[in-house]
Amino acid sequence: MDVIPYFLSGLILGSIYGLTTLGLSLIFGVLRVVNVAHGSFVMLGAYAAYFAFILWAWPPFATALLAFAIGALLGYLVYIGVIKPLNKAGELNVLVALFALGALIAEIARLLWGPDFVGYRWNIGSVEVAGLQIDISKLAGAVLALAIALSLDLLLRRTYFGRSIRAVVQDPVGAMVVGINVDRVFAASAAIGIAITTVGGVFLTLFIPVGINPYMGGPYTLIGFVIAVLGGLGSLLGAYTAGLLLGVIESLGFYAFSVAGFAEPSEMALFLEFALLLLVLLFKPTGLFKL
Amino acid sequence: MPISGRYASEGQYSLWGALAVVNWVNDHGGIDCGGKKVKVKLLYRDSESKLDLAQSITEALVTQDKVNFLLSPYGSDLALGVSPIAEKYGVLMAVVGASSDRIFQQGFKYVIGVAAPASQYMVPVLDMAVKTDPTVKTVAILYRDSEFNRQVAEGAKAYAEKLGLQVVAYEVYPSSPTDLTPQILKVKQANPDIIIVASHFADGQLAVQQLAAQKVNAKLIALSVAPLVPDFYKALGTLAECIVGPSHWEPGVKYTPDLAKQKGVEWFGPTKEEFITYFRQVAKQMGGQEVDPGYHAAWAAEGVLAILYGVQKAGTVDSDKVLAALRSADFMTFFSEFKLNSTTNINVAHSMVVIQWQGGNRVVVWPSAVAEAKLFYPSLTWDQKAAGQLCK
Repeated sequence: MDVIPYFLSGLILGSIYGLTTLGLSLIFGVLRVVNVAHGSFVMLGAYAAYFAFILWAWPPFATALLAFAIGALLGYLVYIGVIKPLNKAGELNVLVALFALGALIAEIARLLWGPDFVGYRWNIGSVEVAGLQIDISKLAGAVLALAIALSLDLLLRRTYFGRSIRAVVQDPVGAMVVGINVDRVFAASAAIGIAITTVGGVFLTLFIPVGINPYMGGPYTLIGFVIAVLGGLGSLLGAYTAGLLLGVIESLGFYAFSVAGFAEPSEMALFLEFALLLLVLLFKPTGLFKL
Repeated sequence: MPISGRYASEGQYSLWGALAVVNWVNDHGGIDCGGKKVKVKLLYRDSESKLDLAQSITEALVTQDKVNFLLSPYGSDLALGVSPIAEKYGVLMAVVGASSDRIFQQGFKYVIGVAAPASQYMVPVLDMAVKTDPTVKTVAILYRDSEFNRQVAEGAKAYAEKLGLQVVAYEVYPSSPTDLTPQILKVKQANPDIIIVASHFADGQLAVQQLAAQKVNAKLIALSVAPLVPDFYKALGTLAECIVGPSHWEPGVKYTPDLAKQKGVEWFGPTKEEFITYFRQVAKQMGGQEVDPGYHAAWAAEGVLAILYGVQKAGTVDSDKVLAALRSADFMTFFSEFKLNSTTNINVAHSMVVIQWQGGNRVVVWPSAVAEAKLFYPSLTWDQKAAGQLCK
């Protein structure tokens, strides 16, 4: 029964991984733009959680609403200021511009808030499940992340706005012909995508409340790509499920490899993740969960 | 020096430390070089924590600016990367803010270390543990997957085994971890007397937080790097209590001209108080506020002092002659005593001190000769700490 704590901790972590990747996946799906500045928006969300907690004693879940608003505004500005003017010049130009934007945001954050690691502590108790102490904050974060993923999916499936997004994903020109304002769909998708990424940053601090720093975003950009590709770029529930899967592989993989006597089990788990990515790219390049 | 990018904070402190010493030297008439007093000039560029940039800057400093000596950038990866350049041009480089043993295993002649290397980090911690409590038997070691942390962990493992301790868990974790629960569950199963985490800043704080979350108690918990930052306590609160960590230098350390006299070695450079005053001035000028130096700053200062001492002894700025002078030198600064081992090229007189968080303060607890307070042992449990109990 030793496996259960590893499985549970992987699942909870995976839920947050999934959440932080939703925005990346949405933006790619709709705008065909790889948001390489992803990590910097995760970082902004983390700082929002930190400052709201330190200055106003806001719990991270309340900050998530604020972060959503800030993220949406930033996303809109990124679309108007960077993606829209450069999109015609080609994908590579947008990619480079977003890369520069990511670095710029990180450096501005350093100027404003300094290069040091900061953190906060929000303890609302823990529950013991199968020998694992689970922080209630993390558990709530994981459940909320699932709720956000499901409601976003519902939004895409059931509303007019969602249908217009899906129409644009399938065929931008066709969508325009039937009277959908493609520009507005693009702007809204960028806004929602970055808003959710920022919220993901807030939730992430439930796990790493002490590692907040202007340069913390990098690894999340990388892991975001892996998850988004595994789940199928543009597929929201796919991204979320792939996030769960990655969390579980990380944790269970560590357990399995360490029981099997491997010298560096967490490295092996990482290897397994990338091996899976490679296999998916080779045999099902549209992603595991994209039909 | 990396002044922006991931090493921004440490790089900045290192730069200010070096500048503080240069200012002190120049305010005291400069350095005696072959009977002539000369002023010292410190040239620096921001390597943005990037290796390729650090390399091209080093190359330019040597070939275009024609510098006489080099100070390494902060960070083992950067320092290791620029070492071949110093070697190629035969320019003496003092390694500061980088302690991977690998830098000194390349057989480079012109690359010298002024402080203990990574593999020695946990030596004083383990010494302290077995001397305080001879009944300790088991150690668990967690380490971050990076050049520096691996060396710290390997050194700790080797030394623990040498002391007759049993290493019951030895686990690596990724360099930017989000969750350490799997590794920590393994430590929990092993139930060790001592837990050592070879960490950097953020991951070290994360490790403490998750050890607390999983209620993994031990008699002694030691981390590298993370506990030395004031933010460690700010972020963790009372959970940081009792945590120990090795440090290259602390403001509480007592190397004085009197101690040098007692030991019969020469004193060189500013006293600790002078260094702190000069450092505060530089910090105010460059960073806008007066802050106190930590070990990064003192370490960089020691690098400058070592080279200048060599220049003074050799009476020239020729790297070969300065190196020869340093190899036969034995002197003391506010940072440490200095004796260069001619095979390893490392200052073997430097030993690390151990600090412990007690009642919200970072105090030196080992070695007892320079300690400010007694080690609080055994550590309080996480439940006691969460309830607000302090280790004092």
